[in-house]
Amino acid sequence: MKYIAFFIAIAILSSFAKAQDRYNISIDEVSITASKSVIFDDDKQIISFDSVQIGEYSGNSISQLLANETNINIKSYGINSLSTISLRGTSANQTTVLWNGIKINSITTGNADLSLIQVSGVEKISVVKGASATFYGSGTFGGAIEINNKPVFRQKTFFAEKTFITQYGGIGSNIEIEKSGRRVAWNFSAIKTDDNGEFRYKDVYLYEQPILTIKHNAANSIAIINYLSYRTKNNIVLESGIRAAKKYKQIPATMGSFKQSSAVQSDTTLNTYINIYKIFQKARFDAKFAYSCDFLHFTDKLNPQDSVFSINSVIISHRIISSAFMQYYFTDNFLLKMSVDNTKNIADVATYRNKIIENTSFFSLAIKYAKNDYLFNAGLAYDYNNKLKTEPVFSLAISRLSDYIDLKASFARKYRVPSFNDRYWQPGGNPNLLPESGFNTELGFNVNKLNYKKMSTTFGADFYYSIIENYIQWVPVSAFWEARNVKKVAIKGADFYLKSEIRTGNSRINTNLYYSYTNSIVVQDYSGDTLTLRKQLPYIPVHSANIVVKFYHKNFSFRINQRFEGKRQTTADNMEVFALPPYYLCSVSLRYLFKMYRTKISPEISVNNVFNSDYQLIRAYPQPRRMFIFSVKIMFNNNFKTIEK
Amino acid sequence: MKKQFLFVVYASILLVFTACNPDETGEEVKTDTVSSIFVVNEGAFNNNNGSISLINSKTGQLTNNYFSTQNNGASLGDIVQSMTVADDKGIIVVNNSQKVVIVDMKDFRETGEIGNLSYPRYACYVGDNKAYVSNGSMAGKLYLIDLQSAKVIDSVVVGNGPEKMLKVGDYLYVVNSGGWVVDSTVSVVDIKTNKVVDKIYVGYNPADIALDKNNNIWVICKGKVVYDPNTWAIVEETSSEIYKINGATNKVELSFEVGQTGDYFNPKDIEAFDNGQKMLFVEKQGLYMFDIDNPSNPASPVVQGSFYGLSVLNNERIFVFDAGTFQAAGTAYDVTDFNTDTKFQVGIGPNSAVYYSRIDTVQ
Repeated sequence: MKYIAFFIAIAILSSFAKAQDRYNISIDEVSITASKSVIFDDDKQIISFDSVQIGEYSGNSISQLLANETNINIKSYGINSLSTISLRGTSANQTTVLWNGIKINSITTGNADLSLIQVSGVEKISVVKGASATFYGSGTFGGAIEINNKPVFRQKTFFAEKTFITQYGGIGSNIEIEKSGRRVAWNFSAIKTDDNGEFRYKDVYLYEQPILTIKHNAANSIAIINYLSYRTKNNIVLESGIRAAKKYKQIPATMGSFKQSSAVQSDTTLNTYINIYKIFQKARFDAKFAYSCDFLHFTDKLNPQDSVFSINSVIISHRIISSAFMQYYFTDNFLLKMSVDNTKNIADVATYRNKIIENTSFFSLAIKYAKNDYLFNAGLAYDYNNKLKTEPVFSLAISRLSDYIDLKASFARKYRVPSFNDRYWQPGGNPNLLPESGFNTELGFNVNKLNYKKMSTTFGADFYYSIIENYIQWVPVSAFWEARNVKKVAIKGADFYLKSEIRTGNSRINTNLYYSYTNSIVVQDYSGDTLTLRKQLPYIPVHSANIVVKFYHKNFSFRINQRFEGKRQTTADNMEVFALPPYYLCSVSLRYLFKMYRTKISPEISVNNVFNSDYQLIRAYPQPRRMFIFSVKIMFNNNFKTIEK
Repeated sequence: MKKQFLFVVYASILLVFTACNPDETGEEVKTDTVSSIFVVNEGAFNNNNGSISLINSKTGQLTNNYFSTQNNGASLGDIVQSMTVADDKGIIVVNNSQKVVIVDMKDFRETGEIGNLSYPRYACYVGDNKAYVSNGSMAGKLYLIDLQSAKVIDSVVVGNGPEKMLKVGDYLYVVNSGGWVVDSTVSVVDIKTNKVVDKIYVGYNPADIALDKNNNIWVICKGKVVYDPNTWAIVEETSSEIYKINGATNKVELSFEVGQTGDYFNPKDIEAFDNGQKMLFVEKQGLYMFDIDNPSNPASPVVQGSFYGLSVLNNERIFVFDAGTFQAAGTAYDVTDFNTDTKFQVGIGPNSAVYYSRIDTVQ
């Protein structure tokens, strides 16, 4: 029935679209230089950030950027702590995060810690909601985040240094260097932070709810990104990239506790790759080799004064990828894409008892066909895994593009391979787990370029429905917990956005508004338990919104964003008493740009949580009240007029 | 004559006043016994969602999150381990918040809080507004607390991981469960001097203690499970056992195994029932019972199920607890009739209950 309704909806939308101006399209030639998955995302709602927008957040993590600029649900244990993303009512390991096409979700947990990913040196960030498994592989029930560092071959010499200091003494420094020409592009970025982690918060779990200063929350980190690209005369491009990050973090006690925490976590991550590609008149061929390594060291003590650790855990994992990718234009309107990714996942974790080596091969075949103002995407993929069985997945999408309104509809099968912890952790890891499987179907529209005098506006919405079967969860079994396929989850929701720009003389006002409705509920519990049926999944707000207003006048720029996050349940049966209340969060920043020949100096003051909201992203983990951050960025560019960063 | 006159006047006045007393007028003062069962819900680790559920013992009316309701929405804390009734006060031990909360049992309002306890587990009331609190995940102590001032007034070193306690006369027996390591002793503390006066060797990791009708003491031992510190693989495991200690001599009289080695179940509850004639304990397959005159490992459970805790209330009702997934409400079963027909959906991770009754005047 749902499928029939889906196709009827497509038909209705299509007929409506035909009333609009005809707009003949062909597949954009730019797409031939795009990444292998992005070119098939026409039917998805994508929130993108270019280098200019990203530059405003240099020195910050992607977590901070997404929290300020979007309404995406981010779960964070506090400043500098583990931050994960939840797209469209799913969990963190159901969103894939890619850096220059390399999956960087942890092999052991399946999550990607966004606090480890700095925005410095990043050229583009794309959040693809509902991304298709046929292009991205396992773990895209929520979507995908693509982070790309690749600079363009352009005549540019750029240097920037930013120093920032927080109200409580945290300090950091960030440098970015870019040197590019017609044949060579080099981009280097490094950041070092040293933060005592202090902030004030209201402990709502203690008697009389005192305002306290958090303890044992220091963090320091260092990260570098280096990208080098060379283009030969016959259009062969050689690329190499390195991303390395190390973070030391004290983990504070939870709220309401008298505990003096001694827990410390150290994360080190390394991603490298070499890519070679050649662009022909009608085709592009890529071959890539990548290596990633994650190292996590966690220690804890029974008492801070103890000389021995009560927990001393080391987790090491490696990922080796070799991939080939080809896209070919049979005609101007017909594109074929084929790819194969061979991945070797290796985990050396004491609690697994044995070193785990898993080989996967991901085969993907996709076509894109344009006819008049219609665009069709179809994909088929299979993920071979030597440790477990997966089913082939497919996707279908149709879009109707015009000057005024784009209409789109899609259907995709999806899956998620259980993480290594789910399968191999002892005790409780379950090698017999089935992959999560399900589908996503959605309809959407974009209204383009509504111009009124000096204001231009675009807006759109996507309505989606997803099913996730064999949802994996850890449940207590006798004396230990075990990973099991426990339930079936249905998610329906809508994502709205509106963007407007008003230009008058030397001034410009940009407004972005995002709103999401998410209904993510359990529709079947395989144990027969009825307690959680029809209940919202924990930490998924039904309503969330963010409005971001940026005002530019000559050399001044001012940003204000007001984020709203609705009530979030924290228990599976939605016990109201333990729900986290809704909160509003306002942040502002003010910058001024001094220009001197080819140099710019930009002092900035930012205030996070302007109105001292007392909120929690995860129950019992404190979030800071109002905090001031001061920074100065110095930039040198050989030509600011052509490209600003 | 004058004395007689004064006596008559005095008697008349007394008669007038006492005539106002409904007792004397035939209007009886109505009283009612309020009997309550307080269920301890641990909550999920690091979630600050531990709670207390209140069940009216007569009507079965359930009120969840009772502490919060009675204390302006205040949270009780993280891992509510236990509750003990101390006359008109309640002692709630909140393990991972490292505190003890003292409440007035009449209205359940908080009257005091003792913090900075590293690993508090259980409390035992010893009278005169004093109680012992067992504390420590490794080397352990008992803290003597004053309930009026909400302060620690003394301490005594016992074994590793001290947990449940039992007051017998002037002595306090505490099982040293090993905590995160190993122990196999029961420490005996002289309450008057606050000193350890005896140490009784039982099986590995004693977890609970109960008194029978003959004043003998029964101890359930979880058994030793040794994990490889790196892989967490089990490298050694011993059986769970029940020990009987002569209450007069503090000597072990007998012991027997319960459960099965390798069943991944570490029993932690033993309770006396039927005026101390029978002992109840929880093992992997459910609730088991044996007679103290015929102590042996029962072949089958009296109530089948997977239970996280056991409490015998006022020697007349038996409750067992299913903690569920720790992500949703757990279940308290009244299995007094040895079936699970009567159940209550309580808070997250229920592990025990306590009984409290008082006589209230009815208006």
